[in-house]
Amino acid sequence: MNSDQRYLNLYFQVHQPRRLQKFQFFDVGSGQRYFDDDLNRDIVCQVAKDCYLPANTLLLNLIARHPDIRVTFSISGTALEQFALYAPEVLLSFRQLADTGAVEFLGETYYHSLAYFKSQEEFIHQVGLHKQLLRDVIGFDPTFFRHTELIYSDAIGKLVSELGFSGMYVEGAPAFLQGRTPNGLYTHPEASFALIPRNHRMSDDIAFRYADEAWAEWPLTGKKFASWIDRLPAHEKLVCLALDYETFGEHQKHSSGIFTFLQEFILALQRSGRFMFATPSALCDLMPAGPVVQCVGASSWADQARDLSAWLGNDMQRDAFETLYRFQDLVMEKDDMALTKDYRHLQTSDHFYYMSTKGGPDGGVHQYFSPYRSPYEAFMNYMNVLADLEFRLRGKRRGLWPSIEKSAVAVAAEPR
Amino acid sequence: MGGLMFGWEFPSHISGGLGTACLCLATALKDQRVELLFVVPQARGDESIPLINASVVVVDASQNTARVTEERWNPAVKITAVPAEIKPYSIGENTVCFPDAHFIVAGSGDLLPQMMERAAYRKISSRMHFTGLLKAEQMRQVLSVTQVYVMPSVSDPFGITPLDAVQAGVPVIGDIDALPDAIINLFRHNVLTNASRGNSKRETKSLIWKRAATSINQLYHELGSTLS
Repeated sequence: MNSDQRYLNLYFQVHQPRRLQKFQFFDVGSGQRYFDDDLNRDIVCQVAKDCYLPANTLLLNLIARHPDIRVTFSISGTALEQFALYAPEVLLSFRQLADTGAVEFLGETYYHSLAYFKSQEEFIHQVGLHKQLLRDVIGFDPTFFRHTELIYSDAIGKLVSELGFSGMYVEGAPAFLQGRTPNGLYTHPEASFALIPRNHRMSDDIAFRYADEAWAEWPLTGKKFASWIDRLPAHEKLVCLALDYETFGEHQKHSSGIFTFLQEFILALQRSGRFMFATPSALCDLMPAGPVVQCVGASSWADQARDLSAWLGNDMQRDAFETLYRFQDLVMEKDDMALTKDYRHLQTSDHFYYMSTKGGPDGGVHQYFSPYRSPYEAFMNYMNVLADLEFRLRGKRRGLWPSIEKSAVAVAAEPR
Repeated sequence: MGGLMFGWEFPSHISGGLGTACLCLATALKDQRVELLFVVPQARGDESIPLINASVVVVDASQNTARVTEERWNPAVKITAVPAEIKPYSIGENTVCFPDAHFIVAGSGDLLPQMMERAAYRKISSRMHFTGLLKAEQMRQVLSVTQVYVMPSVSDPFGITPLDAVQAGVPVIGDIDALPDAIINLFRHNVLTNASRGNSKRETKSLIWKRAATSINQLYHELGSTLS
């Protein structure tokens, strides 16, 4: 163990939700499917072409030339499942990355859900499902964890550690760091469990500010960015950059030069030799255990608040969330595979993210990801789906209403 | 005799309201061979259209409670408003009596988002269904599965929707003070529901537009002969 050694961890999040199709009041009880397969296929194929495939190729080439490069991925189960359905070549290229031995894949909830807050049993089950899927389609057995949107608290960390993971990622938010540097390794107060904070300022320089021409640092080149990392104080031993993988080619288009940036930045750091690329599991072996940090409230990597407010910040989000989990026991009792699968896809955090009524820059980001024109439309649509789910659960015995015959006319959603 | 009729749309393209009333009345008058010219405003943006409000408004409030407020979309327009006290219905508590009661909020409007937020705040979104704007056929479908039509609005320029409900045999409640009790009673006593259905239906028979057109036609003729 070299105590002067400094480490860089690059972690990319890959996620695609199963977006809902337009589900109107008159569709309740009609047997219509919940998910817009056409839209989901179109999006997955487009992002595969713009981001996943070219970015994977870039990383594969870099690793082939420089075997000391290390990269970390977390791929949600809903994304893996859709790759298998719509873009199997993406799975193949992730398998190639796994085969290099230079890439670590993380555990997470299969459905990219907030299940932890409602049912630990459901949370544990989804983590297990994800582990199984990752083993099956990528051939990787995860030992390090990433919770949905980097949501973390001491209690979450404890549970994840009990599931056998050696550590997890946390947002380098003030709530967690309490004045400490994000550039270091930390330890859970009760367990021998590593916590890697994401350097959100530097990560967001790439994710959000890269293409902002009004930003004083624009244009940001890979070399310039690498020099910022090089200049960090020598006692800061670990820098973790964590981003949506879709940043490369999707959020930031190819024409913005983002791929050149990625390659330049990785090569510049690799050449300078001051930082060693490391995966999280390797970090736990290479670095001494960090100081203990307590974090009672939940932090996350979303919005300026970096808490749960992106998904559970308003009454609509909370009521939809509560309604969803009121069905938990009923769904499990039914033991119907298709129903359970639908129910779990409805748990994906994105559905609640679309219902956010936040304004300002946060609101802009929510709107960017949302397939709806407004949070109210998202809420109305989601609640109609839940009404249908209740219809399926209760059957005709205690049905909502004698099934309104399927209307041939679509409801005009526009206000008068 | 010829007639002039004023309205803001013709033919009506949404269910309910003054538009429907104008269309039905105009059609009935035409059947009675009244030559009708329907006048709709042609909005160019800047001109103001003076409107004659023929309805008698009885405001049971003292003059000093009246307030001049700004019109919602145009602060330059001042309107006199009388504050009305609306008793909260506490729907949230009452649904406990009938956990399977569902409220269908049909239609659209600029307060729809607030209504959705209000329902969510009360944690009853799973029992409140917001349909958006409904076409006539969809309205009929909704009414066909409805036990009670609730009209909680404090005012309506031309309340045609309760008539739609009555026509479909659905009892209508409009008295906001009696609202929760009346709904609960209707849910509790299906007998009452059936009874109110019968009564209401009989009432609608006299509400057909033909009669309205005849009365109007008659009234205009009487007025005409008095004036000449």
